[in-house]
Amino acid sequence: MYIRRLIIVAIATCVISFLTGWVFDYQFKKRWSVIFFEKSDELIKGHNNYDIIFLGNSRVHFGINPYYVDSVTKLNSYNFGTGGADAQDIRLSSLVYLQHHKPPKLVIISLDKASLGKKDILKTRFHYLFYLENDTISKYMKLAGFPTPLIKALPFIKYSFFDEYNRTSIFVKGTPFPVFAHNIYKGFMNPHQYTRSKAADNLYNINAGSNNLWEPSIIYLRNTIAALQQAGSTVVFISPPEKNHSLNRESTLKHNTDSIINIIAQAYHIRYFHFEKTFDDREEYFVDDIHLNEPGTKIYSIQLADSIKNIYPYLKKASY
Amino acid sequence: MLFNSLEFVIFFPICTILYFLLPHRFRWLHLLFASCIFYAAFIPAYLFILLFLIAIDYSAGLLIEKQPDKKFWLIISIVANISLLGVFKYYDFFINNINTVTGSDFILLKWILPIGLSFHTFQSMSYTIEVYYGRQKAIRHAGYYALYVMFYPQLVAGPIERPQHLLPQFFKQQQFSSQKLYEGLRLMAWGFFKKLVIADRVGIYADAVFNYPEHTGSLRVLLAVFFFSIQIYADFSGYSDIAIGAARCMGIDLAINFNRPYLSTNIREFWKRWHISLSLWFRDYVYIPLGGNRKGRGRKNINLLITFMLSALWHGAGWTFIIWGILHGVYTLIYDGFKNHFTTLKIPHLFAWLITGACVGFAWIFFRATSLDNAMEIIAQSVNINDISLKNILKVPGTTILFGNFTLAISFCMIAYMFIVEKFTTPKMFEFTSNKLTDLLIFTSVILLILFFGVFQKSSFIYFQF
Repeated sequence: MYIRRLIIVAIATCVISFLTGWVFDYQFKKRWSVIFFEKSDELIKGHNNYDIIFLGNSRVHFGINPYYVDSVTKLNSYNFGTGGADAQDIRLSSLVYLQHHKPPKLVIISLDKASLGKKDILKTRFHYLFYLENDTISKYMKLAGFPTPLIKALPFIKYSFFDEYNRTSIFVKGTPFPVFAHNIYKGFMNPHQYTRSKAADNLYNINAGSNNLWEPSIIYLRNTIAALQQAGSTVVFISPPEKNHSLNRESTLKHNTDSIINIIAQAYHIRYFHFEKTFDDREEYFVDDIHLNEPGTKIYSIQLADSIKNIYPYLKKASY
Repeated sequence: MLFNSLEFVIFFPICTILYFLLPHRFRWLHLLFASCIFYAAFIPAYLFILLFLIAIDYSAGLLIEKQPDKKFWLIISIVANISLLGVFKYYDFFINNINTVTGSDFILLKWILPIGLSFHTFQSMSYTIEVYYGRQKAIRHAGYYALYVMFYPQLVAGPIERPQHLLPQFFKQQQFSSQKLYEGLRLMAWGFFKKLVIADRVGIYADAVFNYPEHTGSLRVLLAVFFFSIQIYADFSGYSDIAIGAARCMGIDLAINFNRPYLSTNIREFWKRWHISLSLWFRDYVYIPLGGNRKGRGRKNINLLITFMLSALWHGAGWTFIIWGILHGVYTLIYDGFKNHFTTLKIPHLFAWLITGACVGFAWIFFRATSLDNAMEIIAQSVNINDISLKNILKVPGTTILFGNFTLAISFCMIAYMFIVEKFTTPKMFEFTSNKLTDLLIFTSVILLILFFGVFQKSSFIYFQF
């Protein structure tokens, strides 16, 4: 009799869990479609090819608009930047991209002082748990501590591993994105036209990096470059604009990160474009110390496109 | 090994299935081996401390029974146990205080406390004490004795068992019972619910306020103290439920440790419902041998204060714990005095419940605080009315915790659910067995709530540190 009860509990739990999981999946994907899922679908499952791809953290995601880049260069680009991305996340993105897409002509990697610090960012990349059928994603998420075989078998269980902020986001509506020209375009979006939103604030707080360089991140970066160059892509480093460039220059972490990036750039013959001083400490183009507002984004994207166009004339014709 | 870890999810069913598959004569060995694996998952080297403790008390038990000088061997056993606790738990505290007072510079050991040391030393001591009083025969089989101390469900955080209750259950050939399996799993699910859905969630806020009390203000402090009161209950009673449930799956009954303590309407009732196995230990082995209430009122009061002081020291070597213990001792004395002087006065039930809750909550401040300064800051902030807007209550100055309105709402709903279910069940939750539908609904809902609202940060149980 009690075994029958146990079976009833097990079946009821499974059925309700699968149904609830399905509803949660729908809600979560809807909530984060613009920020994560559209881009991840394109990265992991998409078959469109691009001449240029941008990799990096929120300063790429919210800062480089492919609309302006494409307009200037007449090429086809896509912004694969995601908030908080470090060298490990960039490595994962590049590997997964190469699985489904033809190698891009140019891969632009934006690096800053947070890129080579230990952040364990994959521990908060809960949206990747929706793509565990991809072996590379599965492997990296397992490395980050998620029981991927279990989540694959019982997909609803992934919500057990969500942090409170992401779990809450299933039930709470996000702040509407500001409407301005060409916002939400080929991976780019800017969630804060003038002021930073609370949601973004929370996101940055989760992703706060350490103050020291994390040795393995340097290896991740080197491996990323090697794989991309082997595939035939040209890699370019960029450092994004900063509001208080003069202050940041004094940071030890910034100094150390710059040194490492310069060494790697030299070793792999990579061009390194510096945009830190683009706005010459002009506050009106920033929403905070590191993120640009809409006018700032436009100027930065066009300047970046100009640099690409001038330095790589062979790219003048789009392949894809 | 933490109960709330994936390792345990694999370990538990394997251990239970093997237990029933093996012939009875090998089961003690299997459980002992499993307990070693369970304990070694924390710090393997500390297994030797446990084995040392077992060897001492096993031998002491035999010697107490055989030798004419029983008291001597009992003292040896107690001294060995207390010394072990003293070295690992109290040495640094006393040396630190001596250094502060005298300005000396004695070296601190800074050793990591073996997990659950206070629990298994007390359980081990209860064996030798019971043998001394002749209420328990000394065991010849060292393996069974080792299992009595090391039985994995209650090894690191109790309930603290008595040999008369636990040992015969190991000797008896337990038959598989689907009812016991069902009840055990249900109780485990309930324990996990309390730990993962309630304790670890409300703990986020309580930790933030206690770690950064500056400028928090009275409302935040009140909420944090309330949340900590819930956290400590859900965490510890959750552990006990999992332990009792895991043992029950194998047909073994462990003692009840909690009986809805927050329903108490006076402080004496609270201590009859809170951490029952420890309260009984102190009653039987400290309070009564000291004379209990048999030697006049004055002596009874002193005995009571000594017992609470020792109970406080059992919890931790720190002034905050000592004050927590003194507070409870003083509460009990005031309650006794009040009861004796106003024998006919009837206090409204709700009022008595609120007063008891407030007193217990106030004492929890010292229990949770990291230092006396921290406790004082919390108390100072509790009367700071500069920032008492409800709007900002979830933002704790100096922190970036993810605790929003939704989390707050979920927390209150889950706390209410816990109290409602516990209000209508016996402490071991066996009553719902008669009402099949309610039982199934609660069991299923609890698993679902764990799956979708559990906080899986693999956080340790608070009482492990004791």
